[in-house]
Formats: sequence, C-alpha cells, structure tokens
Amino acid sequence: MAGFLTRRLIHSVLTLFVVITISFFMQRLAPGGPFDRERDVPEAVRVAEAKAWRLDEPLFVQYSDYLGGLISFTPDLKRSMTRPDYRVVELMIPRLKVSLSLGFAVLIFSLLVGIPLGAAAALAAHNRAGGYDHLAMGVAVVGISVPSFVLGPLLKWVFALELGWFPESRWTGLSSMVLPVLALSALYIATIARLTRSGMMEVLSEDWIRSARAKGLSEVQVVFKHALRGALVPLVSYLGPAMASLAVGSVVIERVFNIPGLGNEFVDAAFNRDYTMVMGTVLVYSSLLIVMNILSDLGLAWVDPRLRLRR
Amino acid sequence: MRAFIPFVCLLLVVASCGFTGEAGDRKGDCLVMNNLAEPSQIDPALISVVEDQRINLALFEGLTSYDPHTLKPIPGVAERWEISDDGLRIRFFLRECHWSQGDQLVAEDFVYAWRRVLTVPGREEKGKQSYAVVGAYSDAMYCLKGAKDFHQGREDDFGSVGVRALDAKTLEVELASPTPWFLELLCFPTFMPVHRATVERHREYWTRPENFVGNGAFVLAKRRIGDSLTVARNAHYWDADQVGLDGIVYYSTDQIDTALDQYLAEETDWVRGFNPKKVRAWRKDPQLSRALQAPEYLGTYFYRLNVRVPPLDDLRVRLALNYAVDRAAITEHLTGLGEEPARGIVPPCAAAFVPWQDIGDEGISFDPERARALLADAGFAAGKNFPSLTLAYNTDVKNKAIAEAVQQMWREHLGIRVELHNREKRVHMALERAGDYQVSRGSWVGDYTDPTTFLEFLMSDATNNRTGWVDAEYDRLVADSRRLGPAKQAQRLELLQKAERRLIRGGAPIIPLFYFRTPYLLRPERFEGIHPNSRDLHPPKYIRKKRRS
Repeated sequence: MAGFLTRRLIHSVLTLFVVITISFFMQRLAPGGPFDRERDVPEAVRVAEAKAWRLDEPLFVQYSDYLGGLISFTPDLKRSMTRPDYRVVELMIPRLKVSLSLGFAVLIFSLLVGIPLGAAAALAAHNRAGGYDHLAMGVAVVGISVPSFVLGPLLKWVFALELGWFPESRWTGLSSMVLPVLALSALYIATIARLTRSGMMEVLSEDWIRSARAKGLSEVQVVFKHALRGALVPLVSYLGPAMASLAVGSVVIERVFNIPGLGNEFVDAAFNRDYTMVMGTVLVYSSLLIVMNILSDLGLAWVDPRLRLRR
Repeated sequence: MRAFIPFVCLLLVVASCGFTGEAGDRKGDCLVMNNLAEPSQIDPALISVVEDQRINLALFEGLTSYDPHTLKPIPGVAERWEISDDGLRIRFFLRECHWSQGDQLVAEDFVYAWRRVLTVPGREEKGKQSYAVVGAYSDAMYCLKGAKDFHQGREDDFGSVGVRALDAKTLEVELASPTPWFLELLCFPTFMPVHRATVERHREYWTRPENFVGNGAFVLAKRRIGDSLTVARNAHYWDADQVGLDGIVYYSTDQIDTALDQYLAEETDWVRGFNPKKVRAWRKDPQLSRALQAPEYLGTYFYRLNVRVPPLDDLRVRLALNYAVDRAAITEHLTGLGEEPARGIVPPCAAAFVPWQDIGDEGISFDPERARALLADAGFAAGKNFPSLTLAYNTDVKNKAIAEAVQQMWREHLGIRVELHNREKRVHMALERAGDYQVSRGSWVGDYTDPTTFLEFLMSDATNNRTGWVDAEYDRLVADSRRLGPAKQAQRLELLQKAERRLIRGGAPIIPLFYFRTPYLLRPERFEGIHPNSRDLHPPKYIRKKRRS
C-alpha cells in the first residue's frame, strides 16, 4: 500500500510539472497580453509596465522564476495581474471553497437519489415488475441527455423568475444552492442510477445471493448488506473521475447562476491574459484531478477486496 | 453501509461553507447596482476602465467634482480657484476636509499622488518608502508642464513638473499648453489624492477594505471576490450631511443575461450592458420602458482601415468603403437604442460644454452611386480584381451582426468580397497594434467633453491611431488648436472642425458607424438624483432613496 502511494505521488509531481510547463509556455505563445487595451498607452508606459511585471525578461528566465517561486518552503503564486492588490492564492481560496461545496453538494445529492433509484429499478426488473424499471431508466436517459446549460436556465426561469421560490443567482445560503445543485445533479443521478442498476442486476443473480436467501436472511438484509455492496464496485470507479469533473467542471452553471466559483475565475483569467491567475487555477485544477483519482483508486480497493490482493 | 454516515456528514459540512454573499445586502438606504465586470483596480492611479471609475466616484473626490446633472466640473476638495489670463496657471484653494480615518487633507497630498502617477517603478524618490505604479492613464497628466519629460525619464527633478503646494490649503498648477477641459479632467481617477501614510505602509495592499483610506462620500466596506463590492457612508466626508445613501453594493456579474435576471428578480436596482435585442421587446412593457434609459454617450463606434496595405492605401478605395455603408440601416435594425448614424468621429454630445458644430452634411453619408464611381476610379469597376478584404472584430453579438451587415452592404453596392474574422478581445487589440489587419472594429470613448479627445488620438504619432495614417495637414490643425488660449475659443473650435473634415473627407483612415448610447434600467420609483448624461457617470453623493408619502 505504501509503495503504491509513493509511486502515485511521484507520478503526480511529474504530471504537475509537465502541466505547469506546458500551460506557462502555451499562454505566452497565445497572442495578446494582460495589458492590451482598447485605449493604448504611450510606449514609455508600456515599457515600464512590462518591466514592473518582469515581462520584458526572456521567457525562460520568467519561467524559472515562476518555478522557483513554487518550489520553496513558502510557495509563491505571485500577485494577480488584473487585480494587483491581491495575491493569486487569496483570490482562489474563497472561490475554491465555493466550487468545492457546490461539487460536494451535487455529489451527495446524486448519491442519495441515484443509488436508491437504481437499486429499486434493479429489484423491480428482477421481480419482473418492468413498469417501474422502464420509468426509472427513462428518467435517467432524460437526465443524461439534457445538458446542464439547458436545465440551468430552465430551472431558473421557472423556479426563480416565475415562481420566485429560490434566488436566481449568487451564492448566499442554502436556498441559493438548490437550483444549481439540481441543474448539475441530473447527469450524475442518471449515471449513478444506471450504474447501480446494472451492478445490482448482475449481483442479484449470483450464487451467493441465493445462499444468503437460503440462510433465511430477510429481503432487506439481502439487498442492503449483500447485493448493494457488490453493486457499488463499478460505481466507485466512476465516482473518482466524476468527483474530479464536479470539482472543476461546473463553469457553465457558475456562469448561469453567477456563482463566484473557481470556474468563473479560470475563464476570466484566460480571457484577460492574467498570466499568474491562469497558472494558479491550472495548478489547482490539475492537483484536484490528481488527488481525486488517487482517492478513487483507494476507494476501489476498499470496496472490492479482490483489488487489494492483486496489489 | 454504516461507514458511509461519517463520510456523508463530512461532505455536508464542507458543502455548507463558502457562502460569499448574504441575502440581506440591503441595510438601511442602500442602492444595489450591477457593475458588470469584477472590479479590477481600486487604486485611483491605476484605473483605466469605466467600471472601476464608477466605484472611484464613491470613494474619492478630486479638486473638482462632477455636477450630477451636466457633469460640468464644480468645486470638490477645492473650494474655489483662480485661472490666469493665458489659462496656463491655476491656483486652487482647498476647503477644510479630512481623510476617512480623520487626518486633515492637505495640498501636499495632491502633489504626492500626482508624483506617484508620474513615477515609474525604479525611479522612486531615494530613501523613501514610496510605492510606484504604472498607471494606464498616466499620460492624461501630460497636460501638466514638464510632466511628460519627467514621466518618460528625460528629466529627474520633480520640481520641473507644474504642481506645487504653496501651503497646506493652496495648490498651484501650471499647464504645458492651454487645456480648456483641465478642470473636468481633475474629476478623473488619475488626479485623485491618495493618503500617503496608508499607501506607504500597505503598499500594493492599501486598497483592501481593512487598509483603505479615501476622501470620498463613501469608504470601501467589504469586498467579496467574484461576487460584490460594498461601500458605506464616510463619516469624515466634508459634505456628509448631503449624502443620501447609507451604502452602495456593486455586483460583479459580467454575464449580461444573468445581470438582467437579477434586475427582473428585484435583486438589483440598476443594471446596464444588456442585449439591445431584448430592449425592443421591452419597449412594449410599460413598467420596463419607464425604467429604461438610453442617453447619448460620448463615444463612437467605427472601423479602422489599415492604410499601409493595398488596396486600402488608396484614398478613393477608403472613401468608397465609407460611402457604401448604410449606417441608418444598422442603427435601425441592429443596435436599436436610437443611436445616431455617424457622420464624423466627434459625437454631437461633445457640444455639451463648448459650442461645437456637428460635421453635418460635410461628413460621410450613404451614397452607393458615389461609392461605385470612386471604386471604378481606383481601377476596380464593379469590384473587379478587388482583392478579398478581411474585417476583424472582437467577439460580441453586436459586433458580429454589424460586421455581417457591412459585409453584405459592400458586396451589394461595391461587388467586393469580405471575410469576417472573429477574435478574442486581447488578441484583437494586440493584432491591431501590430498593424496585422485590414479592416478592424474599434471604438473611442472621450476622456473629457471636448472634441479634442476624439481628434488627438488619430494624429500621426498617437499610439491609438493604429491605422498608419500620417497627415501633416491634420496634425498641424490639431496641434495649432492646442496653442489657443481661452480667449480664442471660437478660433480653436474652427481649427478642430477643419481637422475633422480633413479626417473624414481627405484621409478616411476610419469608417465611423454610429454614436453610442448607453442603455440602463433603473427603478425610477425608488431613487432620485440620478440623471441621464453623456458619460454615464452618476456621482453617488447625490443619489437618495425616494420617500413614499
């Protein structure tokens, strides 16, 4: 186990290094810079501005300078170029909190709804009650096919603007979470339900389920203690990437509901050519992806003892 | 399954943190407005966009301040002033007023602030803890005597720059040349005083709410990254009794549709920058159309023509392209706010403070016959052999629609093919500066209410010209106008008028399309003291809540 973790950590650091390097040079190669404005400044000001931000130095010097700032006891992500009174870290932390809480809320909600939905559908199918199964899976197909950028504005229009039940934007309290969480959850609920259903279907016809029944266990015990646990294996392997994409991938919903999350910042930074901010967000996003993937591997080993033995 | 329970609890805890706003933003008499972009700069020396300027209007006050109706400069920190006969020397007499933490504001604070704007990093005063910045608008100060030389490093002695504190309450300013709009310029963020001790103690972080010291009607109270900025009443403001609001909340929602939803859901009182197509639907809604204002704006929408590349190096071709654009069709069908089709570069509302004569019939108009004749004269009868042109614009729904319309007009009236290039804003600016374009969308917004701001930027050596157009006659006309003092106003305007004619008819490095209007929605039943004007600037000091009787 320790060996596995060490290997993964070394890989992660290497991956991060490659990501940083590529993004650093790619954004510099892109035309336009943080100080290109409609009303241009005199040449003298332009030169002084570049100098103040050390943009006049050779690219490689800037790169090693940035890297040097990162690899130290007090890692330095520099100041934001478009909001120079804040450091990149200070601008990211409140936004990261928002993005993560949105992501986690979606995850919890999707699990709480998706697993029972899928399990019930599997049981219904198993017991030859196809009507409910078709209904549940039909709903799931809709959830998968309607993208969040359609669902988001739709929910907003109905529940915020027409009915006025929830705030239509911003991040001000539990009620402001409802619509964005619903909009983002649809896809995950549907996928989780389908994965649970197929996992369950497979497990329900296994021999050990039959022996569990033969032992005289109640149906509840059979389903929750034995069948569901087996059905969760494909789900856990899906959750890792899903958590990663949830933590980083809600840009559209953040825009629709004007949620001050990191996704919004990422997009703005890229358009504004706020070099330091882009690097900061890329760093956070890639670290998140890596951590989530490691966590999902660990989770898999926890759920399925066979994987533990193989390592 | 029991193992899941602590996990779920943990997630719930994490999920419930990180709220960035409060539902109860409105405390007391508070105005909630949408300011589109997230504030970029609070430091007045660094401000270069109107969103930041709006916040600056609440936080700082210059020697002069804007009249809420006309935006004419009225006394601010300066109680009164004396101008010499040649208009070059102005003596300001400061009133008794204080910084937001209680210190007295003195003339030396202005000298310090202006010196800071004119000092680039690396050239700070020796042995001082001063913190130098590079302000995008520092060149606005070049109207001061010696400022340009000092800023660009040709002169090291700040004593050569025309600003001096004669005593704590008297500031003397010397100008490089007559600048009739100087008093108006003093309302601009670049010229605001800053509190020296605060700036030097906190350096780049002095503009955070916990460090902030200002001299405006409001102080910076709260900042929620990505969400909003809040200002609260400044008890130390000299005219605090006149301030009507307890605070203002500026939302940063740059998604214009979301911003509009916030207004419709009554979360905000004031919103701007929405899709003009929606406006036309609203005109039918009585309540919304009462809330909708779209005053003329001191700005012009135009295309730059790169005169360095053939066939655009031929004046006849440039004129032909100009005459073949039906501007009225664009303003009627695409922009839809009642914009006026442009005839020249100076918008008619530049006449607010000076008797400026609009270019009228002497400007450019829609005349396809003439356009075809000019093009034939240049050797491209009916567009034959005319190389394919590219028209570049920065990504925007409106820009796209207008570019497509112009593309269609040129094909129909001149028989030429145009390819449209849609580019990200920063890319657009960088390529335009590099001269890497043929036809490029641009806009110009006046820095002050005088035609000069619209004519100077197209002079041969101006950074913002970017068309490659060099014209000695034009340069001479504009430069001559800058030498005329206040006594020769009529003569000055006449020179500028000649310059605009020269630009439009004799040079045509640009295709002016229309003069801007700025639409906003404001709840008329709730607030008073906000008056439509040509700069879309509304000094918050005068805004107050209406009392229901």
